[in-house]
Amino acid sequence: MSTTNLESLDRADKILEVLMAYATLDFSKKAEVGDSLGVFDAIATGVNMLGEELKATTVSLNEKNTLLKEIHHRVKNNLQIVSSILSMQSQFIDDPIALEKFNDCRLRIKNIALVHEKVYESNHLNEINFKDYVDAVLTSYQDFFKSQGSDAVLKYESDDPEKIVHIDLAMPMSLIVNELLANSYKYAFKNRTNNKILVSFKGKGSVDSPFILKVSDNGIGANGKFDPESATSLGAVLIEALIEQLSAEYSISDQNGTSVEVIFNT
Amino acid sequence: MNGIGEKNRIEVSKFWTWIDEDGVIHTEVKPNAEIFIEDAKENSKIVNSLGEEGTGLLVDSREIKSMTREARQFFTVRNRSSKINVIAIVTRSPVSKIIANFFLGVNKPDMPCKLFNSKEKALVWVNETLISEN
Repeated sequence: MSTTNLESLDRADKILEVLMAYATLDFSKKAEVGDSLGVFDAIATGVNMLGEELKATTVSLNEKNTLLKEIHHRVKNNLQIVSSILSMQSQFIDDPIALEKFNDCRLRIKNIALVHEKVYESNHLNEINFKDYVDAVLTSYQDFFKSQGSDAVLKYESDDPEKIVHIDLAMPMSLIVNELLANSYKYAFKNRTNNKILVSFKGKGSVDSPFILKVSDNGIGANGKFDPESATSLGAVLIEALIEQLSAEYSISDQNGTSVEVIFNT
Repeated sequence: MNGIGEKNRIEVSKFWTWIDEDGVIHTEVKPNAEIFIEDAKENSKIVNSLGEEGTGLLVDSREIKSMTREARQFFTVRNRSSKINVIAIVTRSPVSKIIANFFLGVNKPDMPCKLFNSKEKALVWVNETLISEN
Protein backbone atom coordinates (compact mmCIF):
# COMPACT_ATOMS: atom_id res chain seq x y z
CA MET A 1 0.00 0.00 0.00
CA SER A 2 1.36 3.44 -0.91
CA THR A 3 2.25 6.07 1.67
CA THR A 4 -0.60 8.27 0.42
CA ASN A 5 -3.10 5.47 0.92
CA LEU A 6 -1.77 4.77 4.39
CA GLU A 7 -2.04 8.45 5.27
CA SER A 8 -5.59 8.53 3.92
CA LEU A 9 -6.54 5.51 6.00
CA ASP A 10 -4.98 7.11 9.06
CA ARG A 11 -6.95 10.34 8.49
CA ALA A 12 -10.15 8.35 7.94
CA ASP A 13 -9.54 6.42 11.18
CA LYS A 14 -9.03 9.63 13.14
CA ILE A 15 -12.18 11.20 11.72
CA LEU A 16 -14.10 8.00 12.48
CA GLU A 17 -12.86 8.16 16.08
CA VAL A 18 -14.33 11.63 16.43
CA LEU A 19 -17.61 10.50 14.85
CA MET A 20 -17.81 7.59 17.29
CA ALA A 21 -17.25 9.98 20.18
CA TYR A 22 -20.10 12.17 18.90
CA ALA A 23 -22.30 9.08 18.66
CA THR A 24 -21.83 8.63 22.42
CA LEU A 25 -22.53 12.34 22.98
CA ASP A 26 -18.89 13.08 23.79
CA PHE A 27 -18.35 16.37 22.00
CA SER A 28 -14.95 17.12 23.50
CA LYS A 29 -13.10 15.63 20.53
CA LYS A 30 -12.26 17.50 17.33
CA ALA A 31 -11.01 16.18 14.02
CA GLU A 32 -7.65 17.58 12.99
CA VAL A 33 -7.71 20.04 10.09
CA GLY A 34 -4.37 20.41 8.30
CA ASP A 35 -3.06 23.43 6.43
CA SER A 36 -3.41 21.83 2.99
CA LEU A 37 -7.19 22.44 3.15
CA GLY A 38 -7.71 19.27 1.09
CA VAL A 39 -10.59 16.81 0.96
CA PHE A 40 -9.81 15.11 4.28
CA ASP A 41 -9.44 18.53 5.92
CA ALA A 42 -12.85 19.41 4.47
CA ILE A 43 -14.41 16.23 5.86
CA ALA A 44 -12.77 16.92 9.24
CA THR A 45 -14.12 20.50 9.15
CA GLY A 46 -17.61 19.22 8.36
CA VAL A 47 -17.45 16.67 11.19
CA ASN A 48 -16.27 19.35 13.62
CA MET A 49 -19.11 21.70 12.66
CA LEU A 50 -21.60 18.85 12.93
CA GLY A 51 -20.26 18.15 16.44
CA GLU A 52 -20.73 21.79 17.42
CA GLU A 53 -24.34 21.74 16.21
CA LEU A 54 -25.08 18.41 17.91
CA LYS A 55 -23.56 19.66 21.15
CA ALA A 56 -25.72 22.78 21.07
CA THR A 57 -28.86 20.74 20.34
CA THR A 58 -28.06 18.22 23.08
CA VAL A 59 -27.43 20.94 25.63
CA SER A 60 -30.68 22.62 24.64
CA LEU A 61 -32.57 19.31 24.96
CA ASN A 62 -31.05 18.68 28.39
CA GLU A 63 -32.06 22.18 29.48
CA LYS A 64 -35.63 21.53 28.33
CA ASN A 65 -35.74 18.23 30.23
CA THR A 66 -34.42 19.93 33.36
CA LEU A 67 -37.05 22.64 32.99
CA LEU A 68 -39.80 20.07 32.49
CA LYS A 69 -38.66 18.19 35.61
CA GLU A 70 -38.70 21.46 37.52
CA ILE A 71 -42.26 22.12 36.34
CA HIS A 72 -43.43 18.67 37.47
CA HIS A 73 -41.68 19.26 40.80
CA ARG A 74 -43.42 22.60 41.26
CA VAL A 75 -46.82 21.22 40.24
CA LYS A 76 -46.35 18.46 42.81
CA ASN A 77 -45.35 20.95 45.49
CA ASN A 78 -48.28 23.22 44.70
CA LEU A 79 -50.72 20.31 44.79
CA GLN A 80 -49.27 19.27 48.15
CA ILE A 81 -49.84 22.79 49.42
CA VAL A 82 -53.47 22.63 48.23
CA SER A 83 -53.83 19.26 49.95
CA SER A 84 -52.35 20.66 53.16
CA ILE A 85 -54.67 23.68 53.07
CA LEU A 86 -57.66 21.35 52.69
CA SER A 87 -56.36 19.31 55.60
CA MET A 88 -56.02 22.42 57.79
CA GLN A 89 -59.42 23.67 56.75
CA SER A 90 -60.98 20.29 57.56
CA GLN A 91 -60.04 20.77 61.23
CA PHE A 92 -62.67 23.50 61.40
CA ILE A 93 -65.42 21.32 59.98
CA ASP A 94 -67.87 19.68 62.37
CA ASP A 95 -70.24 18.21 59.82
CA PRO A 96 -69.05 14.58 59.23
CA ILE A 97 -70.38 14.50 55.65
CA ALA A 98 -68.57 17.71 54.71
CA LEU A 99 -65.44 16.41 56.44
CA GLU A 100 -65.57 13.18 54.46
CA LYS A 101 -65.85 15.11 51.20
CA PHE A 102 -62.89 17.28 52.18
CA ASN A 103 -60.82 14.18 52.88
CA ASP A 104 -61.87 12.62 49.57
CA CYS A 105 -60.74 15.71 47.70
CA ARG A 106 -57.50 15.85 49.64
CA LEU A 107 -56.65 12.25 48.74
CA ARG A 108 -57.46 12.84 45.09
CA ILE A 109 -55.17 15.86 44.98
CA LYS A 110 -52.44 14.02 46.88
CA ASN A 111 -52.53 11.16 44.40
CA ILE A 112 -52.37 13.47 41.40
CA ALA A 113 -49.35 15.09 43.07
CA LEU A 114 -47.81 11.62 43.40
CA VAL A 115 -48.05 11.09 39.63
CA HIS A 116 -46.09 14.33 39.10
CA GLU A 117 -43.57 13.21 41.71
CA LYS A 118 -43.06 9.88 39.95
CA VAL A 119 -42.76 11.63 36.58
CA TYR A 120 -39.93 13.91 37.68
CA GLU A 121 -38.22 10.99 39.39
CA SER A 122 -38.31 8.93 36.20
CA ASN A 123 -35.72 9.12 33.44
CA HIS A 124 -38.41 9.70 30.84
CA LEU A 125 -40.51 12.71 31.54
CA ASN A 126 -43.74 11.34 30.14
CA GLU A 127 -43.72 7.91 31.74
CA ILE A 128 -43.79 6.38 35.19
CA ASN A 129 -43.12 2.99 36.68
CA PHE A 130 -46.65 1.98 37.63
CA LYS A 131 -45.55 -0.24 40.53
CA ASP A 132 -43.57 2.61 42.10
CA TYR A 133 -46.61 4.81 41.79
CA VAL A 134 -49.13 2.33 43.23
CA ASP A 135 -46.72 1.46 46.06
CA ALA A 136 -46.58 5.14 46.97
CA VAL A 137 -50.37 5.47 46.77
CA LEU A 138 -50.84 2.40 48.93
CA THR A 139 -48.38 3.73 51.52
CA SER A 140 -50.24 7.02 51.53
CA TYR A 141 -53.58 5.21 51.96
CA GLN A 142 -52.19 2.88 54.59
CA ASP A 143 -51.11 5.92 56.63
CA PHE A 144 -54.52 7.51 56.11
CA PHE A 145 -56.34 4.32 57.16
CA LYS A 146 -54.21 4.06 60.30
CA SER A 147 -54.93 7.68 61.14
CA GLN A 148 -58.63 6.84 60.88
CA GLY A 149 -58.29 3.76 63.09
CA SER A 150 -58.53 1.19 60.28
CA ASP A 151 -56.32 -1.91 60.23
CA ALA A 152 -56.79 -2.62 56.49
CA VAL A 153 -53.75 -4.09 54.75
CA LEU A 154 -53.07 -2.94 51.20
CA LYS A 155 -51.09 -4.89 48.61
CA TYR A 156 -50.10 -4.60 44.95
CA GLU A 157 -49.50 -7.43 42.49
CA SER A 158 -48.57 -7.38 38.84
CA ASP A 159 -47.43 -9.80 36.18
CA ASP A 160 -45.08 -7.04 35.00
CA PRO A 161 -43.52 -5.26 38.01
CA GLU A 162 -41.38 -3.07 35.78
CA LYS A 163 -44.37 -1.88 33.79
CA ILE A 164 -43.81 1.64 32.46
CA VAL A 165 -46.98 3.61 31.80
CA HIS A 166 -47.33 6.80 29.77
CA ILE A 167 -48.53 9.77 31.81
CA ASP A 168 -51.68 10.07 29.65
CA LEU A 169 -52.62 6.60 30.80
CA ALA A 170 -51.15 6.84 34.30
CA MET A 171 -53.28 9.82 35.32
CA PRO A 172 -56.73 8.24 34.71
CA MET A 173 -55.51 4.87 36.02
CA SER A 174 -54.25 6.50 39.20
CA LEU A 175 -57.54 8.32 39.74
CA ILE A 176 -59.50 5.10 39.22
CA VAL A 177 -57.29 3.33 41.78
CA ASN A 178 -57.80 6.20 44.17
CA GLU A 179 -61.60 6.13 43.87
CA LEU A 180 -61.80 2.35 44.23
CA LEU A 181 -59.53 2.40 47.30
CA ALA A 182 -61.66 5.15 48.83
CA ASN A 183 -64.77 3.10 48.10
CA SER A 184 -63.39 0.02 49.81
CA TYR A 185 -62.26 2.05 52.79
CA LYS A 186 -65.63 3.75 53.22
CA TYR A 187 -68.03 0.89 52.64
CA ALA A 188 -66.31 -2.48 52.82
CA PHE A 189 -64.95 -2.82 56.31
CA LYS A 190 -67.46 -1.46 58.76
CA ASN A 191 -67.15 -3.37 62.04
CA ARG A 192 -64.87 -5.98 60.46
CA THR A 193 -61.30 -7.08 61.12
CA ASN A 194 -58.55 -8.69 59.04
CA ASN A 195 -59.39 -6.31 56.21
CA LYS A 196 -57.43 -6.47 52.95
CA ILE A 197 -57.34 -4.59 49.70
CA LEU A 198 -55.49 -5.92 46.67
CA VAL A 199 -54.62 -3.79 43.67
CA SER A 200 -53.51 -5.91 40.74
CA PHE A 201 -52.44 -4.98 37.27
CA LYS A 202 -52.13 -7.36 34.38
CA GLY A 203 -49.72 -5.23 32.40
CA LYS A 204 -48.51 -7.58 29.68
CA GLY A 205 -51.28 -6.46 27.44
CA SER A 206 -51.72 -7.09 23.73
CA VAL A 207 -54.53 -6.84 21.22
CA ASP A 208 -55.81 -10.26 22.26
CA SER A 209 -54.95 -9.82 25.90
CA PRO A 210 -55.92 -6.37 27.15
CA PHE A 211 -54.65 -4.68 30.30
CA ILE A 212 -56.63 -5.41 33.45
CA LEU A 213 -56.55 -3.15 36.48
CA LYS A 214 -58.29 -4.73 39.43
CA VAL A 215 -59.06 -3.45 42.92
CA SER A 216 -60.59 -6.02 45.26
CA ASP A 217 -61.34 -6.12 48.93
CA ASN A 218 -62.49 -8.84 51.35
CA GLY A 219 -65.22 -6.64 52.83
CA ILE A 220 -68.96 -6.96 53.07
CA GLY A 221 -69.51 -6.70 49.31
CA ALA A 222 -71.36 -4.00 47.46
CA ASN A 223 -74.41 -6.17 46.88
CA GLY A 224 -75.23 -4.35 43.68
CA LYS A 225 -75.04 -0.94 45.30
CA PHE A 226 -71.90 0.12 43.42
CA ASP A 227 -72.52 0.86 39.76
CA PRO A 228 -70.71 3.76 38.08
CA GLU A 229 -73.35 3.87 35.30
CA SER A 230 -76.02 4.91 37.76
CA ALA A 231 -73.59 7.10 39.66
CA THR A 232 -74.88 9.14 42.55
CA SER A 233 -71.56 10.14 44.14
CA LEU A 234 -68.64 12.16 42.78
CA GLY A 235 -66.36 9.12 43.11
CA ALA A 236 -68.63 7.00 40.94
CA VAL A 237 -69.07 9.84 38.42
CA LEU A 238 -65.29 10.14 38.20
CA ILE A 239 -64.82 6.40 37.70
CA GLU A 240 -67.43 6.39 34.93
CA ALA A 241 -65.78 9.38 33.20
CA LEU A 242 -62.27 7.94 33.53
CA ILE A 243 -63.35 4.54 32.21
CA GLU A 244 -64.83 6.32 29.22
CA GLN A 245 -61.61 8.31 28.79
CA LEU A 246 -59.63 5.07 28.66
CA SER A 247 -62.20 3.52 26.29
CA ALA A 248 -62.27 0.77 28.89
CA GLU A 249 -64.80 -1.76 30.06
CA TYR A 250 -65.41 -2.79 33.62
CA SER A 251 -66.97 -5.56 35.60
CA ILE A 252 -67.97 -5.77 39.25
CA SER A 253 -68.00 -8.92 41.33
CA ASP A 254 -69.62 -9.16 44.77
CA GLN A 255 -68.25 -12.55 45.78
CA ASN A 256 -66.08 -12.57 48.93
CA GLY A 257 -66.03 -8.80 49.06
CA THR A 258 -66.07 -6.41 46.13
CA SER A 259 -63.85 -6.68 43.11
CA VAL A 260 -63.80 -4.14 40.28
CA GLU A 261 -61.97 -4.97 37.05
CA VAL A 262 -61.18 -2.30 34.51
CA ILE A 263 -60.25 -3.80 31.15
CA PHE A 264 -58.63 -1.69 28.48
CA ASN A 265 -56.21 -1.58 25.56
CA THR A 266 -53.62 1.13 25.02
CA MET B 1 -5.99 53.57 5.18
CA ASN B 2 -9.59 54.55 4.60
CA GLY B 3 -10.75 51.28 3.05
CA ILE B 4 -11.72 52.88 -0.27
CA GLY B 5 -10.30 50.67 -3.01
CA GLU B 6 -8.28 47.47 -2.57
CA LYS B 7 -5.03 49.44 -2.29
CA ASN B 8 -6.37 51.08 0.85
CA ARG B 9 -7.75 47.92 2.37
CA ILE B 10 -8.09 47.72 6.13
CA GLU B 11 -6.22 44.88 7.76
CA VAL B 12 -7.22 43.13 10.96
CA SER B 13 -5.94 39.85 12.38
CA LYS B 14 -7.92 37.48 10.11
CA PHE B 15 -9.34 39.69 7.33
CA TRP B 16 -8.62 42.38 4.76
CA THR B 17 -11.60 44.61 4.04
CA TRP B 18 -12.29 47.40 1.55
CA ILE B 19 -15.08 49.01 -0.49
CA ASP B 20 -14.99 49.21 -4.28
CA GLU B 21 -16.03 52.10 -6.54
CA ASP B 22 -19.56 50.63 -6.90
CA GLY B 23 -20.04 50.66 -3.14
CA VAL B 24 -19.75 46.89 -2.69
CA ILE B 25 -17.80 45.86 0.40
CA HIS B 26 -15.15 43.17 -0.04
CA THR B 27 -13.77 41.14 2.83
CA GLU B 28 -11.07 38.54 2.32
CA VAL B 29 -10.23 35.83 4.81
CA LYS B 30 -6.48 35.48 5.30
CA PRO B 31 -4.86 32.14 4.36
CA ASN B 32 -5.47 29.37 6.91
CA ALA B 33 -7.40 31.73 9.17
CA GLU B 34 -9.41 30.16 11.97
CA ILE B 35 -12.37 32.43 12.62
CA PHE B 36 -13.62 32.78 16.18
CA ILE B 37 -16.40 35.00 17.52
CA GLU B 38 -13.92 37.81 18.31
CA ASP B 39 -12.74 37.77 14.69
CA ALA B 40 -16.31 37.82 13.43
CA LYS B 41 -17.09 40.86 15.60
CA GLU B 42 -13.91 42.61 14.56
CA ASN B 43 -14.74 42.00 10.90
CA SER B 44 -18.31 43.23 11.41
CA LYS B 45 -17.08 46.43 12.97
CA ILE B 46 -14.90 47.21 9.94
CA VAL B 47 -17.67 46.26 7.46
CA ASN B 48 -20.12 48.47 9.34
CA SER B 49 -17.75 51.40 9.09
CA LEU B 50 -17.76 51.22 5.29
CA GLY B 51 -20.44 51.74 2.66
CA GLU B 52 -23.99 52.97 2.71
CA GLU B 53 -27.32 51.45 3.67
CA GLY B 54 -28.45 48.51 1.53
CA THR B 55 -25.10 47.58 0.07
CA GLY B 56 -23.68 44.17 -0.81
CA LEU B 57 -20.85 42.16 0.68
CA LEU B 58 -18.46 39.90 -1.15
CA VAL B 59 -16.71 37.44 1.17
CA ASP B 60 -13.60 35.81 -0.23
CA SER B 61 -13.24 32.69 1.92
CA ARG B 62 -11.10 30.68 -0.47
CA GLU B 63 -8.27 30.19 2.05
CA ILE B 64 -10.30 29.83 5.28
CA LYS B 65 -9.35 27.00 7.62
CA SER B 66 -12.21 26.93 10.11
CA MET B 67 -15.05 28.94 11.65
CA THR B 68 -16.62 28.29 15.05
CA ARG B 69 -20.37 27.88 15.57
CA GLU B 70 -20.55 31.19 17.47
CA ALA B 71 -18.89 32.99 14.58
CA ARG B 72 -21.23 31.36 12.05
CA GLN B 73 -24.25 32.36 14.11
CA PHE B 74 -22.95 35.90 14.47
CA PHE B 75 -22.56 36.22 10.69
CA THR B 76 -26.01 34.71 10.10
CA VAL B 77 -28.06 37.47 11.62
CA ARG B 78 -27.88 41.12 10.77
CA ASN B 79 -25.21 41.83 13.35
CA ARG B 80 -23.34 43.62 10.65
CA SER B 81 -26.23 46.14 10.82
CA SER B 82 -28.87 46.44 8.14
CA LYS B 83 -26.35 48.00 5.78
CA ILE B 84 -25.74 44.66 4.12
CA ASN B 85 -28.61 43.40 1.98
CA VAL B 86 -26.88 40.67 0.03
CA ILE B 87 -23.85 38.39 0.55
CA ALA B 88 -21.80 36.49 -2.03
CA ILE B 89 -19.29 33.97 -0.72
CA VAL B 90 -16.38 32.90 -2.90
CA THR B 91 -14.95 29.45 -2.20
CA ARG B 92 -12.21 27.33 -3.71
CA SER B 93 -10.66 24.79 -1.34
CA PRO B 94 -12.76 21.81 -0.22
CA VAL B 95 -12.60 23.23 3.32
CA SER B 96 -13.97 26.60 2.24
CA LYS B 97 -16.77 24.87 0.30
CA ILE B 98 -17.74 22.78 3.34
CA ILE B 99 -17.77 25.79 5.67
CA ALA B 100 -19.74 27.96 3.26
CA ASN B 101 -22.28 25.23 2.49
CA PHE B 102 -22.69 24.47 6.18
CA PHE B 103 -23.21 28.16 6.86
CA LEU B 104 -25.92 28.41 4.21
CA GLY B 105 -27.57 25.06 4.96
CA VAL B 106 -27.52 25.03 8.75
CA ASN B 107 -27.20 28.63 9.89
CA LYS B 108 -29.42 30.03 7.11
CA PRO B 109 -28.53 33.73 6.84
CA ASP B 110 -31.58 36.00 6.77
CA MET B 111 -30.70 37.74 3.50
CA PRO B 112 -29.92 36.66 -0.07
CA CYS B 113 -26.69 34.68 0.06
CA LYS B 114 -25.02 32.62 -2.65
CA LEU B 115 -21.77 30.67 -3.20
CA PHE B 116 -19.41 31.18 -6.13
CA ASN B 117 -16.15 29.76 -7.45
CA SER B 118 -15.24 33.05 -9.13
CA LYS B 119 -14.96 36.54 -7.68
CA GLU B 120 -16.05 38.11 -10.94
CA LYS B 121 -19.28 36.13 -11.13
CA ALA B 122 -19.92 36.80 -7.46
CA LEU B 123 -19.56 40.54 -8.00
CA VAL B 124 -21.92 40.51 -10.99
CA TRP B 125 -24.52 38.66 -8.91
CA VAL B 126 -24.14 41.08 -5.98
CA ASN B 127 -24.69 44.10 -8.20
CA GLU B 128 -27.64 42.51 -10.03
CA THR B 129 -29.27 41.44 -6.79
CA LEU B 130 -28.81 44.88 -5.26
CA ILE B 131 -30.51 46.46 -8.29
CA SER B 132 -33.44 44.05 -8.12
CA GLU B 133 -33.69 44.44 -4.31
CA ASN B 134 -33.65 48.22 -4.45
